[in-house]
Parts: sequence; C-alpha cells; structure tokens
Amino acid sequence: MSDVKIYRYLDSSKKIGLDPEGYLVEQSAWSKSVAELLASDEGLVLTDEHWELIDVVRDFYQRYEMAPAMRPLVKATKNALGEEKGTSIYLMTLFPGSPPKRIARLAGLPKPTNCL
Amino acid sequence: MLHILTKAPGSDAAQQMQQAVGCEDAVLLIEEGVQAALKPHWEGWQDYHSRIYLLAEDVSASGLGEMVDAHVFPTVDMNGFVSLTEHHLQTVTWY
Amino acid sequence: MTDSENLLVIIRHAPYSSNLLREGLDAALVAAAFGQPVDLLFLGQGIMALLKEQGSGAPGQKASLPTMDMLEMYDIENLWTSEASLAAIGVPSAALRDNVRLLEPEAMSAFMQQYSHILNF
Repeated sequence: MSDVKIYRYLDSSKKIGLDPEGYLVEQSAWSKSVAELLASDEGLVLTDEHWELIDVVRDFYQRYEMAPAMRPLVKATKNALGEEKGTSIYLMTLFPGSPPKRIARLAGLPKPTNCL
Repeated sequence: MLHILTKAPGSDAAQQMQQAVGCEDAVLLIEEGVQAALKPHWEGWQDYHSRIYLLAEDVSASGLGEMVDAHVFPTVDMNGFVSLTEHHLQTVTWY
Repeated sequence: MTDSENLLVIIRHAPYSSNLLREGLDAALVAAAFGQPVDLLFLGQGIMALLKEQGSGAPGQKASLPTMDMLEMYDIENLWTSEASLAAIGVPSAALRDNVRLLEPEAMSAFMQQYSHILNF
C-alpha cells in the first residue's frame, strides 16, 4: 500500500522510510544491506541461519502474495530446509518473540495479516 | 441445525440452502425469504413440512399477511425465533 | 456433533463480485493459524474460486489464486463442493483444482452436521 505514512527513517542519508511498526514503507527499497540495517536497528546480527529463513519467507511471499503466520512458516521452513529446522523452537531461537513478524520485517515485506 | 433463509425462493441462496437441509433441521424464512408465502407450490413447503416457519414481523412488513392466512403457513414471532435458535446447536444463515 | 472443535467455512460468492470470498478465506486462515481444523465448502458462484486456470485480479484487487494455493500451507487440505452446485453453474469437474472433493446430494446434510462451527460467506 503506497498510502502508508512514513513514520521515521531507517537511515536518514538513504531516506528509507519505515511505518510505525518498523516495516518498510516501500517494499522496493529492500536490499540485503537494508536487511542488515533493519536487523541492527533491533540489535540483531544476521548469520547464514538467519538469512536462509529470510529467504524462505521471501519465497513464500513471492508465491502466495502474503507473509506467513507461524504455522505455515514452520511448514515452509520444513519443506525448504528440512525437518530439523522446521520447528517453532528453532525459529524462536533465531528470532525471539514473534518469528513471523520479525522475519517479514527484515525481509522487507508487509506484516503477516493472519498473525495476531 | 436451524437454517435461516433471507432470500426469495428460487434465489441462489435458497437453492444452496435446499442442498444442505437435513431431515431433522428446521427452516426459518425471514426478510425476502417470506416471499415463499407467494409460492404455495414451492417445494420447501412440502419438503420441510412441520419444520418450516415464516417470521411474522417480516410477513406483516411485506404485506403478505393475507396470503399466509389463506394457506395457513406456520409463523413464529420474535420470541419464537429466539426459541428456535435455542433449540438448535447450530444456526446457518443463507443470504 | 463431533468430539473435537472443527470449522466449516462455506464460500458462495465469486472472486471479484464482492469481498466475501476474501473474507471467507481470511476467516479460514485465521482459524487455521490457531490450529483449528478447517474445511472449505464451495457452493454456487463460490465454485469459480476453484478453477485452476484463474487469471490475476481486477485492477486494485488481489488475485485469489495465490491464496487458494496457500491454503495447504495452513493445513487446509479439504476443499469440498457439491455435485448439484457444479452442475448448476456448468463447470466440468476437470476444470477444478486437483484436491477438490465432490459431495453427492444425499451426503450434504450429514456432511454439514459433522462440524462444530459453520461460517457462511
């Protein structure tokens, strides 16, 4: 939605706008370095393990046009990365709190709609 | 199960409801559904005999009181509506 | 009644005629996200959402096909329709998605009775 108001800038020099919940206002502004900035904004350093989950969520969005809630996220992770990683505990370890919301934010996607 | 029909007989909603009504289900006709009073040959009257009702308030609002009296179609008032919903575990509205 | 809580969402409106298809799918997704078993029943114009060759949405509207594809990720695996509804709108069953199951007319009411909750869209 392009009518979302910019609440603050992630990086004032690059003018990357965030909404009140910290999601990118313009999805097209996303890049790997923007993801790094978003992560450090919340005190997280992205490892390969984080990145492969960001990719799972970006692929999910590409295919279904919606970011996944927890259950489908676990299922998609299982399909893409195997049984061992396809568990909510694994996701919670890497993205404590709400993995679906946090990964969607870092992936530059809108907030998952079925994620309360 | 109680089925509430808010559309006229012959409508998509009515036909879909008719697919779903079981032999122990009741049917309540409200809003446009009371136009069933204009169609005494509508199959619903036969199929759901003794478990189909018109909502009296909507019958009088639609000016169909005489039709209902002439064919002695069963009606319920608002209290009857409430007790119908209480007597069924499920209510499904077809609109 | 069954011993477990389960939900049937009935969808009776076509993809672009109103928001009702979208709202029905959203209700199903929310319930499924919370772990409730959910089945979908498509009747009347709702059957149009089951066609496998749907195009993208009208301008400004989200296409329903990606959401239909997504249902299995939410463990919504049972998509039902009725033979009578299918015949009424003239859609051949070969045009439907692979996982659609058909209900015979005499099976409909017993089918509905097995759900603890029914939402009609």
